[in-house]
Amino acid sequence: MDETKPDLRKKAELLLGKSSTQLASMTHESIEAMLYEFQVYQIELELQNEELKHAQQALISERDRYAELYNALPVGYLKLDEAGVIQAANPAAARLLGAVPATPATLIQQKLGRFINPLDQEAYYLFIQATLSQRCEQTVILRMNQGNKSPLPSHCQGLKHFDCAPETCVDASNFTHLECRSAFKFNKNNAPMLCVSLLDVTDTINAQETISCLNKKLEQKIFQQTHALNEINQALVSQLNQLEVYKQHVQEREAMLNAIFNAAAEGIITTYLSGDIVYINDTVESIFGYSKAELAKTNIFQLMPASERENHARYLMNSSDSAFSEVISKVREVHGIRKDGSTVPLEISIACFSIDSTRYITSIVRDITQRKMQEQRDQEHLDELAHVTRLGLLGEMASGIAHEVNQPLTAIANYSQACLNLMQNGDADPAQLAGILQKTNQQALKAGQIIHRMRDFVKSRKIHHSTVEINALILDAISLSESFIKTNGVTLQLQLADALPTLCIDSIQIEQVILNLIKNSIDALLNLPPLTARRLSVQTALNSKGEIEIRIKDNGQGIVASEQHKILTPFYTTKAEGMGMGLSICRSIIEAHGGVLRFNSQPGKGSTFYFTLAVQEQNHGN
Amino acid sequence: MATKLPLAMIYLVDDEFFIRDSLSLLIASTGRMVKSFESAADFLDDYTPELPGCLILDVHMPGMDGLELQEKLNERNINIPIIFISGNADIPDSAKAFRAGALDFLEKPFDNRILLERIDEAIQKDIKSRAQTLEKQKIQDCYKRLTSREKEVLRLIIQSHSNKEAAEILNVSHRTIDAHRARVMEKMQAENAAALVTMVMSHDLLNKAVNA
Repeated sequence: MDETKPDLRKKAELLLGKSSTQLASMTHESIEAMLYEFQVYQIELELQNEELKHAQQALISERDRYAELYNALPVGYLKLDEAGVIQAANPAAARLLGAVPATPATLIQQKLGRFINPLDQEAYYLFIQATLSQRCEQTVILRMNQGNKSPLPSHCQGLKHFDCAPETCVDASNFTHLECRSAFKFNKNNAPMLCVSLLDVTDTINAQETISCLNKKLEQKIFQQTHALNEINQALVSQLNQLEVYKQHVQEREAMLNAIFNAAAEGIITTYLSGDIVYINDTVESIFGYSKAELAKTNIFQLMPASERENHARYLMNSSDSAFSEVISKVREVHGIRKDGSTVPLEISIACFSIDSTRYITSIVRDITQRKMQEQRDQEHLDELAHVTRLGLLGEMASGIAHEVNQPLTAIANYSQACLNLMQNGDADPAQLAGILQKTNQQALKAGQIIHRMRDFVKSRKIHHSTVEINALILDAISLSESFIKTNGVTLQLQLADALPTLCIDSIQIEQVILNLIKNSIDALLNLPPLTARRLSVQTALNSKGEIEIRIKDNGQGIVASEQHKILTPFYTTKAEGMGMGLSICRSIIEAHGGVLRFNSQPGKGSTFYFTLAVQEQNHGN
Repeated sequence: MATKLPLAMIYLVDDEFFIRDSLSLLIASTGRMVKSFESAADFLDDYTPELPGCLILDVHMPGMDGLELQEKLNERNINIPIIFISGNADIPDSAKAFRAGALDFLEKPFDNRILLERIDEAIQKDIKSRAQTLEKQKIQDCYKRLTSREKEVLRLIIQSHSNKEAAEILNVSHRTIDAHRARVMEKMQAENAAALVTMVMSHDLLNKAVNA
């Protein structure tokens, strides 16, 4: 202010010199008046000056305060001319724009555009233009050129928590975002100028971006999860449909199984391992005579005779080992006990299954009373037929058997007469007589044996299984046919295997089969031309299946191929006096014993008939 | 009794030991001689025709059976009388045996007396047939010594022609016939014409002569 004083004086003098009022031409009074006036003015001015000094003082202090504020302000403040060149700046602006050194002076005469990131140059230009043309306030957020910032400022840490890849995250961290607010003004030279305030909104922007990034991620996540949920939902829906279909199938099957279950001719009993009954079908009621309600409270053991309870219990105990699976796969014949205490023959098969680690046993039982009766009738029928054919067979062989008896009888008659003669002659030596009588006795016993055997053979009786050695049985059969063999000039060859296991069979019926086959062979041999060797062989052996095989072989004419399939059928015969029952009965007898009767025949060379008999396993027999 | 028995051998063929044993014992106990064989072949090997006798033969035997042995004996001109024994006498067998000249066919067991009767019968028959065979042989030997003219004269005599008729048939003189006749009587050792006729007729010499 003091410096301006001489200037003001000079200007005032200059102005005075230019005024038209001339002091010289002025009157005294006027001068005096003027002087007075001047003095007043002077005082006034001095007063005014005083006031101005005060005002200046106030202004200075205001200005200082303003400057202090201006400099301390966190908001940057710039003045730009029309070309965007910085005319004034505060320290905050220098800091925000990243000027080096960060003083306002560095910014002066610099173009603001220099500090703007090339990405935002266009926005900056538009911002300036808008301010200048519209002459009103504009606001824009611009990114500054500031490459020296740390790559991951603290505000970005939030992203880390979401584990997003750096490339998916909008990388705002390298820029300083400034909110630029402009105002249009004229400077004192009346030139347009811009006042620009700069507010660091980096944190806000970053926060926003982080938020938007997080939002995006969240959206993405939500989208993904929604998608996944949709898929899961779809899968669930399809599974639900599938289940619906299954359910329907299951229901249909259950209905079907139920129908079968209850309509089954077999009784079906499901029990726990303990034997306690879980479920039964209708048929069980009719087999055992108990009502369903009664059965539901009982144990399956109650339906078995005491003798089989133990067996069953043993099977259940061993349910895990092979003994059990053996039972499961087999159909066995057992006996059941009805409510009235009577026994019923049953066929049983067992199935085992687990539900939720509880084991169940299902026994399927079939009442085989009818079948058993039929079997018995068939057996009786077979026994009768066998007996009749046995009589027939014996009748056909009667002359041979008679011869067999006649031999010892003849010897007896001879021996006794010889004794009589010796005694009559009076030269009887007691030792000689004793010897002869001894032989007589033997012969009488022999005759008796043959008759006994024959009587056994024709005796009508029920089938009776006994333990028999097959070789002994063959020798018996041969003893009945010995003379038949001999009188027909047949050479018999025996090949009997040693140490064969014993059989549990009906010895008479099997003997009948052997005798019948021997007789057939001899009949075949009789058709050979005279002087041809007639050979018959009887063999026993143990075959590969552990069965005993009996073979009766001849070298006769054999059986014509076209007749071979007929010979085992009833009423087929090649013999004038035959009934055609022999072989058919033989086959039935062998089959009733669980064996098979077969033959091989080669016309012109001979026939071999053979049959098998199963060896009873000792430990399974009673 | 034993002293009255002729000297003869009884042969027994049966494959059954007890039959052989008991029957041999029985026959021996009556004081007769017996020889037994297990098979037909054994018998054939051993048999000699020196003694008269008979054969007791089982029909059914392994190997050569009784009927086959009979056939074989016939083939060999062994005329031993055969008594068949059989455990089961069926008709075809016995018929065949009888046709082939069996003396009897006994079914076992047989009455011992009948068997012994048959044995004696058979032995007598054998003795007789042996004597006949001997006689026949003698006559045949005589006949063989006749000349052909003498055989012609013999035939005419047998045909009851007189000497005169014979002389006319042969166109020779009556005396020639006389001489031939005398030689025939001498060679044939015939005592008279009746004996000569019997001799010739019983041995069927003329037919044989004609056939020869």
